[in-house]
Amino acid sequence: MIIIENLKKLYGPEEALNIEELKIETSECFGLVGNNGAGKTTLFRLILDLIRTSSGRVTINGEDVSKTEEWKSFVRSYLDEHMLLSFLSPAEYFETLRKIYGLGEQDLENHLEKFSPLFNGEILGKKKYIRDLSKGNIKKVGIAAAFLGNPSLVLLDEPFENLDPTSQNRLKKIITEERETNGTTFLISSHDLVHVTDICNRIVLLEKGHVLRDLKDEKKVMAEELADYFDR
Amino acid sequence: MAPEFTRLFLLEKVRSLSFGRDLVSGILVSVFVVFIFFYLIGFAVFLGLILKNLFEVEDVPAFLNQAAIFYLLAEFLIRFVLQKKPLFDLSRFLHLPVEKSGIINYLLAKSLFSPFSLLVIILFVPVTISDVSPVYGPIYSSLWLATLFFLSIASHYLVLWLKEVINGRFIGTLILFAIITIPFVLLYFNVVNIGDYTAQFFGLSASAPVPLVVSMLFCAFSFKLIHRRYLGSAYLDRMDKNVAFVSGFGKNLFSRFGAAGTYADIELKLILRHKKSRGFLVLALLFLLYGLFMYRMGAGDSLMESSGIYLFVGIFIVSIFLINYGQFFLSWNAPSFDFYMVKNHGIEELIRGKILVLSTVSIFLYLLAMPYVYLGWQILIFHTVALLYNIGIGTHVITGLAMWEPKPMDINKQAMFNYEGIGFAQFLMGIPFFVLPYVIYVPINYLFDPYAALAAVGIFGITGIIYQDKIISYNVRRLKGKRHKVSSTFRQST
Repeated sequence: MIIIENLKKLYGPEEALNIEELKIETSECFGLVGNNGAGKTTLFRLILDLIRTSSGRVTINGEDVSKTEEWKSFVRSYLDEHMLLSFLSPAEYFETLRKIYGLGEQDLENHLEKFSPLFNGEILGKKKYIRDLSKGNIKKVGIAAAFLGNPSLVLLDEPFENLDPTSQNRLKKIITEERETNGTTFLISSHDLVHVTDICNRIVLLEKGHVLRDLKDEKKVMAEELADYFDR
Repeated sequence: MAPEFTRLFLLEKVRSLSFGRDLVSGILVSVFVVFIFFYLIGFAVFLGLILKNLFEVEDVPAFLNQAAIFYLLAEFLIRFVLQKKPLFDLSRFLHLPVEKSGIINYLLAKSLFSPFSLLVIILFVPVTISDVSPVYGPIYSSLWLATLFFLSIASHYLVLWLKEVINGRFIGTLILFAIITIPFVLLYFNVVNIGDYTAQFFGLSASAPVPLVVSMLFCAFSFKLIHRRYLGSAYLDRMDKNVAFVSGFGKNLFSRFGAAGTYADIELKLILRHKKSRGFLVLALLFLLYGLFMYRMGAGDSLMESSGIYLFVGIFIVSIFLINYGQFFLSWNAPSFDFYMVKNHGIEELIRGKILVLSTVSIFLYLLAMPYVYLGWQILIFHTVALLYNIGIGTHVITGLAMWEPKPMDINKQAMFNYEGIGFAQFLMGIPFFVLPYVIYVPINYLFDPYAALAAVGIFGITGIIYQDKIISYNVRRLKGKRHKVSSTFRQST
C-alpha cells in the first residue's frame, strides 16, 4: 500500500525524520508510537504531501504522492483541526464531503448511522458550528469524516486524545470492524500504548526521526517491548 | 508594562511569517502618507490666504469657528472608514497577573499613534499662527487650537466605541452615516447652517478657557466609554452574539457548477458566517451609493466627456468587493487549508470556486447598480465595460497578487482585540487593478474617441473571459508549486 524510500525531512540543519525503508501492507493496522518530537506527525504529513520532503519519496499504490493527486480519492485522514471547515455545522460538513467524494445520500446516511454510537447524540442535529463544539466532539467529526466513502487507507493522528473512555472503546470497535469488513489499511499514531497494542497488528517505534523498532509479534510481546522502552 | 508590550508587539511584527509583505506594504503606505502630509502642509500654510483671496472671507477666525464642526464631522467619517481598530491578542495575557485595565490603557494610548491624530495639528497650526493669533492673542489662540485637538482625540475614541456598538451591522452603519451627513446636506441646500450655532462655542475661546475644558471633559468621557466597553468584553468567549446559527442559507446556490460549485458553496458560507467578510459585503452595498456623488444628470454627450472618470466609478462600484475580499484571497481559507490539500484536485477547485463566487458578487453588484441608467444610458456602457474588465482581467490581477506570500488570518478568532480592520494598505493592491484599464483606455481615447476606448477595454475583458480557463490553470499551477510553503505558513500561525 505505502512504500517509503530514503525519506528525509530537515528543518534547517536539524533532522526531523529519516526513514530508509518502510513498507505498509494493505489492510494492515499500523501503529506509530514515540515520544514528543519523534516525528510521528511529520511522517503523516509527508505521506499526505502536506509538507515537502527533503529527499526520498512516498508512494501510495505506486503513485508518488507529490506528483499526482489521484491517490487522494481513496485516502482519508484526520490529523488536526486544519482539516475541517470549522464554520460549517457537522451536518453541513458531511454533506459537503458527500458531494466532493461523489457519494449518494443513502451512503452518507448509512455512514452516519454507523457513527451514531460514537456521536452519542451530541454531534448531529445540534444548532452549532464545528468551531463551537468541544475538543472531543470536534475530534469525533474529523474521525467520522475520515471514514466516509469506503477509503482504502485511513490516517489518524492521536485519535484517542480528548475522547472520553466510552468513546475511545467505541472508536476501537469501529476501526476493528472496518478492517475486518472492508480490509481498510490504518495508520494510527498514539501515546496510548494499551489502545495501540489492542487494535494494531504492527507497531513502529520512532525515536528522533528514526525507526527504532518494528514490532510484528503477538500483542503480549509487543506490549512488553513497548513497556520496556517507555519505562526508562 | 508598556515598554514590555511594545517590545512584544514589535517582536510579533518582525517574526511574523508575512513580514516581507507587511514591510513592503508598510513602506508604500508611509510614502503615501508622507506625500499626502506634504500636500496638506502646503495647503495649510496658505489656508489663510486662500480663504481671504479665493473665498473672500473677511473675518477668518469667525469663518473657522463656523467651519470647525464640519471639519470635525468629516474627520470623524474618515476615521470611521479608514482607521483600524487597535489590534491586540488579549488571550495571551488574561491568565497572567497583568491588570486588564492596564492592557486596555496601553492599547488605547497606542492607538493614538496614527496619522489621523496629526491631521488637526497639520491643518490648523499655520492658520492659527497667521490669522487666529493676531485676533485672539497667542494664549487664547492656543486654547482655541487645543480645543480642536481634544475634540479630534475625542472623536478618535468615539469612533472606536461606535465601531464596537455597531459591530459591522449594515443598518447601524447606514444610520450613522446618515446622521453625520445631515448637516452637510442641510448646508448644501441652504436650509440651515449648523455652523452658526456651534460657532458661538468655538468663539468663546477668544475670551475664556471654557471650550477647552468642555472638550477635555468630552475627550475623557469618550475615553472612559471605550475603556469600559473594552474592559467589559475582555473575555475569551466571543462577543459576537448577533451571529445566529443560519442553516441552509444559500445551500445549493452553485451546485450546477459541478465540483467548483461545491467549493463555491463552502466559500459563500464562509463569507456569510464571518464578521470581517460580511463587513466587506456591507461595504460593497454602501459603495453602491458612490455613483450618487459622482454621476451628474446629463444628456449623453456630457456624460461621455468625462467617460474616463465614470469608467473608474463603474469599476469601483462593481469591484469593491473583489478588491476587499480578493486581497486576502487564500488567507480566508488559512485555518482549513489542509482540508483542501488532502482532497483530490482540492486546490484547483478551491480557486475555481472562489473565482466563481467573486464573479457572482460582481454581477450581483452590477445588477443592483442598474437604476443609475436613469441618469443616462451611457452609464450602462460604463458599468458593462467595468464588469467585463472585472471578470475577465481584474479578478486575476487581484487574486494573482494576493497569492504572493499569502498572509495567514485566523478568521475563527473573533474576539474583538484580534480584529483586523479595513485599513488603507489594501488599496495598494488596487493600484495595478485600476491602472491597467487606463493603459488601454487613454491612448485609444486620445487617438479615436471615448466609445472606441471603452469598447477596447470591454474587448480586453472579453478576451480574458475567453482565456479564463488558461489563466486560472496558470494560477493553479503556480499555487500548487508552492503548496507546501503556503500550507506550512498557514499551519504554524493558527
